[in-house]
Amino acid sequence: MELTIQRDDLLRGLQKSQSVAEKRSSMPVLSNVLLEAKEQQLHLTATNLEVSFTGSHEANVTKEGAVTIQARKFYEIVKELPFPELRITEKENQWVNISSGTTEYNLVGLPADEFPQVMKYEDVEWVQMEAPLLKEMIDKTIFAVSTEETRYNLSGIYFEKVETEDPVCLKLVATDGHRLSFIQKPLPEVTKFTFDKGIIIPRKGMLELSRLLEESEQVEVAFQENTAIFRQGESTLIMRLIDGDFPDYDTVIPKNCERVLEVDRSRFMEMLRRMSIISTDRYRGIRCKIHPEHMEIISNNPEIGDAREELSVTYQGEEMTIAFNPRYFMEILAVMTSKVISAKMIDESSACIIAGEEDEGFFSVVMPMRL
Amino acid sequence: MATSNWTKAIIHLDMDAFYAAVEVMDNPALQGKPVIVGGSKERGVVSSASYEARTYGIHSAQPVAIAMRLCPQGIFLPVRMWRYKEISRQILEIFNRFSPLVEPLSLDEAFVDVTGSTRLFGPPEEIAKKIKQQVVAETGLTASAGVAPTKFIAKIASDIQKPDGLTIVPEGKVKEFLRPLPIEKLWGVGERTRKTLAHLGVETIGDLGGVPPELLKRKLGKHGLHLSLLAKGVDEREVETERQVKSIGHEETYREDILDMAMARKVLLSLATKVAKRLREHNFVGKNVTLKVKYHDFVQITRSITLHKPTDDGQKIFRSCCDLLSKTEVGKRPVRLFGISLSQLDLANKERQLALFEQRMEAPKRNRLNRALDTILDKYGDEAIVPGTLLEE
Repeated sequence: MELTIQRDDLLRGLQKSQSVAEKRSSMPVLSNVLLEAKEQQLHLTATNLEVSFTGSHEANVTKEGAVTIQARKFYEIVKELPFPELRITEKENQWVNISSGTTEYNLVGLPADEFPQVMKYEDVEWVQMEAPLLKEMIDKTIFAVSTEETRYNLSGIYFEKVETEDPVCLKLVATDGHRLSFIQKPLPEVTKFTFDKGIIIPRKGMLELSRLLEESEQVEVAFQENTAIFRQGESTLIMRLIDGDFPDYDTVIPKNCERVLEVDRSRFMEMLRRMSIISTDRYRGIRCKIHPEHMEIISNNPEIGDAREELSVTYQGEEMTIAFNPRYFMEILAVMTSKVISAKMIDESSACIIAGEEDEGFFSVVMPMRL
Repeated sequence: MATSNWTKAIIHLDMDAFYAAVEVMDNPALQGKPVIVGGSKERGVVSSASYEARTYGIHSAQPVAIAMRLCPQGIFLPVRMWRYKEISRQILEIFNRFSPLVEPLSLDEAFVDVTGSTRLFGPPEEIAKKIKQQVVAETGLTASAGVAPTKFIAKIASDIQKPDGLTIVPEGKVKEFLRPLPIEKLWGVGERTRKTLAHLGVETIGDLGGVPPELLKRKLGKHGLHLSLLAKGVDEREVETERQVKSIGHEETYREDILDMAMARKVLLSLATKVAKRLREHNFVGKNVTLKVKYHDFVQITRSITLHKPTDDGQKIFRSCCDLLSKTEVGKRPVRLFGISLSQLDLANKERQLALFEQRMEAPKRNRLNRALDTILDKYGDEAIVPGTLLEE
């Protein structure tokens, strides 16, 4: 394999490759990126067996071939190269030579045939979607996905078709069992999605997709058996769906909340940041005392000390004290855009529902703590 | 007053044949006779034996039936726990006069850190003598003491000249003291470890000190490294006045072996109910449920499971144990003992994140029910209310 390629082109693909590739794995080849030079193109492939990335870049190929090298190091090298063009040459025993100007590297590679087969797809039906819309939906739910290994069916975002409503909608839901995030947007294209009701897409894949979606206005989406495929230009992300049942989330969304709190989002956020400084793993809860015109937050950590602050709010309902993990609130407030947010509650031991007018179709549910 | 040159001085005190000695003290007619305190003739084990009884080969943890065969003329007495607890409190009170750092290990032994007490009471060896004297004067019982710079050496030392012994191991003599001792004396060396070490030609603590730590790590894992340090006399553990409770449990040896699943479930329900009550008494919830099974041939296994959420509910504990039964040979192999314990304990009323997907009202309701049951049991005794399935005949 021998070729020359534009540094900045390659860098974009490598950034995604190294992000998908495993950092530490029992299979060393999974830390590598597969390079395939063919017909004036360099194809990159990286996978962690759950999520795969493929990208193609124009190159001046003088000799076709394939080899794998460490994704992270290759990315770091290309990032620092001094000239806009570089040359990649495969030597004996999978040594790979990278040169640009007077800079030269020789990297140890692994044979291309050790690289796992990436999920193949053919004849899928591509559906066009607005990239910013999909990105907003992912970003507003992904933070609630469970990172606990034992809760496999909660380790991704649930995509659901809502065809009973007019217009038809796409709904994304994520939960870790303590809080839940929900967003629904009108999307006529969902009728073309080739899955029945709902699917769960792994968190890692969603994270990579969210980054990919920053780059353009359109994205193509396809579903096939147990995979979801997202394509944008020459970059493709293929992810294996999670084989599990998403819980019946509708039953935990509180209805008939009579107590309604309204508060300025950014002031609430800043207050929570101040109050949570003294929380630790053992003592993470904060208490909110809610009065008709103001809210008092008290953070108490027997190991460090305490803190309190007041904020003016609008509140309808009985005076109450409710305790929360402040991180859950901060993560919600961070993805919202509304100036004022509302928190609707039933009592101090039931779920609370957070929404805002400018965050259309979105709400989040948080269970309180018992202190 | 003389100050000592001990950088750290720990005394381990161990009462001599404690339960048996208390029985003799309460009934002087038993003086000089083989006294054995233990459980029932059929299934019980020896809890304590007087030194006279020990000459017949009787030792604690031995089945009572065997002890009776070894010493038919022995005086076999039931365990009177309340009385031993009473005396134990008196003894701890004596220890406390010499240092606030007292860590009881059980009713009849404790560590006392006297590093800071030497200005008041003299060198550690003097303090050990004084404690022994006061214990004899005030309770009539003798104790053996070991004085050393670390906990584990002090414990080994107290065992060297029992009864009424006093063994002192100053800092400079630690290696010399440990070298000839058999490795079983080390904490954490049981039968299996002993065998592994025997393969390496290790029989004494001195031998162990000569084995490269890397080799021990390979053969015994982390435990190997720990042993390697102990063999060199290194033991960083402090005397802890309030010992952290690590697990709460209960076990029962049955008069007759348990043969079938139905019976096993029944006794497990009874055990689970007791363990749950104990958890609630101590205001703990536990996340890890361990089931211990001792088969008729004394082969013992444990199986455990980690729950999603810590619990103090008997039903939940019982259900986990039933799941664990499938990983045992219960039903196929007769069982003489069952034990249930909960570990990974946490305070029940600590701050707790509530969960979304939970049958709404179930948890708080059960909680209230359990508390109400506890009140009744405390008032009318442990048999006042039991699960219906446990009522029979």
